Amino acid sequence: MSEEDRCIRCGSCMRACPVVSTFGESVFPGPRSLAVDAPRTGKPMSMDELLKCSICMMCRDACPSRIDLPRSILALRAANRRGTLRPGHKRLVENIDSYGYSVRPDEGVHGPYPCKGPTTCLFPGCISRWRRPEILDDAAYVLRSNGTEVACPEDLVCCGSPLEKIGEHERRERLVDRNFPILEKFERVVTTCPGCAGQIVGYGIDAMHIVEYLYEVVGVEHLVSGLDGKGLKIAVHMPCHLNRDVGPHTKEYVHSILGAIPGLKVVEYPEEDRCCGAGGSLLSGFPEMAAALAKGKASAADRAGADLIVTSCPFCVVNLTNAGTMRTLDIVSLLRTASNR
Amino acid sequence: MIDLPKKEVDVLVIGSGAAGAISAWDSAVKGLDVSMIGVGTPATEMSSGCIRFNDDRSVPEGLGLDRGDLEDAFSRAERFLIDEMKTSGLKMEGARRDQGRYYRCHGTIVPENIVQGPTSSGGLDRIEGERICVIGFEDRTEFDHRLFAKALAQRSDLRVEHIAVGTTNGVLRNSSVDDLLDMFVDAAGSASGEVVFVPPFISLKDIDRWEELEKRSGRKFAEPVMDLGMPGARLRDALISSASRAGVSITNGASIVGMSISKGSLNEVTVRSGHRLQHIECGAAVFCGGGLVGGGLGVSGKDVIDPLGLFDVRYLREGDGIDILARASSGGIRTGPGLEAIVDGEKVRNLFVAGASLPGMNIVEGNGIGDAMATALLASKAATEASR
Repeated sequence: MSEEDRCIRCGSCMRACPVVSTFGESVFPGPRSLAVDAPRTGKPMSMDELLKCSICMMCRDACPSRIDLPRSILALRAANRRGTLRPGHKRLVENIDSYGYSVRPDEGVHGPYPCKGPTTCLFPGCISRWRRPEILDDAAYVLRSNGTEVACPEDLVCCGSPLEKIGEHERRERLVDRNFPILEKFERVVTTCPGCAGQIVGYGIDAMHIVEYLYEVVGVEHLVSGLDGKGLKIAVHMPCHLNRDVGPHTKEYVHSILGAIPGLKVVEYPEEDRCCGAGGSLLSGFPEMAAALAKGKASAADRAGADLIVTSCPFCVVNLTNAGTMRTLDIVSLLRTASNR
Repeated sequence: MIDLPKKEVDVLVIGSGAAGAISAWDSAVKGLDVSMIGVGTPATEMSSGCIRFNDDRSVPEGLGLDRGDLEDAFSRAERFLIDEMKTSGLKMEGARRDQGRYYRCHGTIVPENIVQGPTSSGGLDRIEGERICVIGFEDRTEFDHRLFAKALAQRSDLRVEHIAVGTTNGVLRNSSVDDLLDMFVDAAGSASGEVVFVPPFISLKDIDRWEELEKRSGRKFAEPVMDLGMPGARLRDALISSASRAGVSITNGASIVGMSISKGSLNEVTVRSGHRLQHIECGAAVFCGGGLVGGGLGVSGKDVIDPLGLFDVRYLREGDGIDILARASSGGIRTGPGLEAIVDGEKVRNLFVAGASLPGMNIVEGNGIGDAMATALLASKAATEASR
């Protein structure tokens, strides 16, 4: 019996899907239609339909039969990819071929800490290296001020996650071959991006997302001593790949850290775990859909009375900032802000 | 991967449906340190949100449970539903019929449940306009437009009206989709709403007709699509928030991958969280992973199995395998007498089973969520004692 044959047609995955509930099945057929029904009935699917999934993994967690629907959707993308990528995805592939990054390097930004000596590597990742360099900077600052010096080698390239999402497995392997020999020399690899953390674990290297490192290695008490939340009211956005790929323990970590910062108030709202729309190549493929999802998320946080959204993923920061309605900070940037009195 | 830091708890509850939530709540209000883990959508969430307590106690009694203890557990579970659910914002009302007591939840529709429209609109946050009109049929109760309008009106930024289209069952039966379309256009003409919600008679994929509706009336049209399991989902939310208020630490999306049992005692449960494993040392554990529907049990060949293939199983209905599903659905994890789990023929003194994982309690068999909750209270009582 194949995994998909365990489907009991309860509809839980369809209800959990943020793309279906926002745009309707006429825009996106949904996880069950794509991963279970279409392969079973031999119905052809367009690559566009497959690419509208944000790989948020909410369907996988909702499935009572434990079908890994996102994995099936990724496999279908890989099997279905010939010449049908979106313009944004073609650009992404070109960037990786030319520069080794999914985004075009900005000349104003320079690789930050090409130092030798530290045994901990801060993996830069495309977005925090080139689009949001302040997040990388803030991460290094927070680690250093808590006793961890980090190296950030210049030669590291894209982790390969965006290529996996569009079925470009050979290209991804080439990136792995470039990153692996650099990373394996370190005792510890820490990332700011949950997508990078998951990919590097896939290399066979024990990478940690920075939230895991701060909680488990630095410790909450040490981390928050002397911080001041300045009366800010924040809404947490749990990144999908942190919460559901790196693991749900990170949700407890994020709340333990933020809850321990004096003068910071975390507001509750039901959409905390809901996808912002950036992932799974949705932002690069269908930016208007990613923006609509981000806007919904931001207005939910707004309704809950938050001053700003705090997340733990540079890509989510980019997409939620694009929504334009709520200020969004990465957790490392918030920690740095809270340390300046 | 490096393991997650080891954790110690008094009671670990596996499964976060109705049985898991009430069991965890019960141990936590007694002052114990309780963790609850769950993955997948529990049957409670897929249910209609109606909870039945059977008068007939033969199934739980058949598990070797004491009649007096059962009566006590049933009445405590019913009290929990009334008192605790109220604090969680859900009003439960009980009624007696068909050899049982039935509890239904009221007021479960909120604007966020009305999830989508077909063409240009989609999702309540994307409604372009403040004035909404909901059209319904005067004499068709299966689509209650007044209820929808009332739910939408909870949003203070929307002004909502509702219009009933005069019709009879006969008209609907004889109407084509295009007749209905004409009726909706006429009705929309007398409405002041910028966005008009219509009953679900036009396929959401029939874009041409939706466009025609919008073109002819100059308004945006949408269909209020409601999750089928919505009352069940609200019930589950309320159950979870009761557990959370009592101090239960809840992890969603983690699953058990192993249990270390020696000399009739459970020492440690191994849990997978994402890429990593965590070892949880617990004084006692309650398995409320659900039955065949909730995904706690599965079928392998002719047999019902648990996800770890660890527990012994028992069938209430024996059979030769022709009627595999019926046989499997009467099966469950073997316990007792009482709720102590049996592993390799031996009782495990601090591992208890409750809810739909028990033989005969499977939702497929229809023993009801109420009975599952009552057994969960007995399991938490036993777990609380065993963990001390």
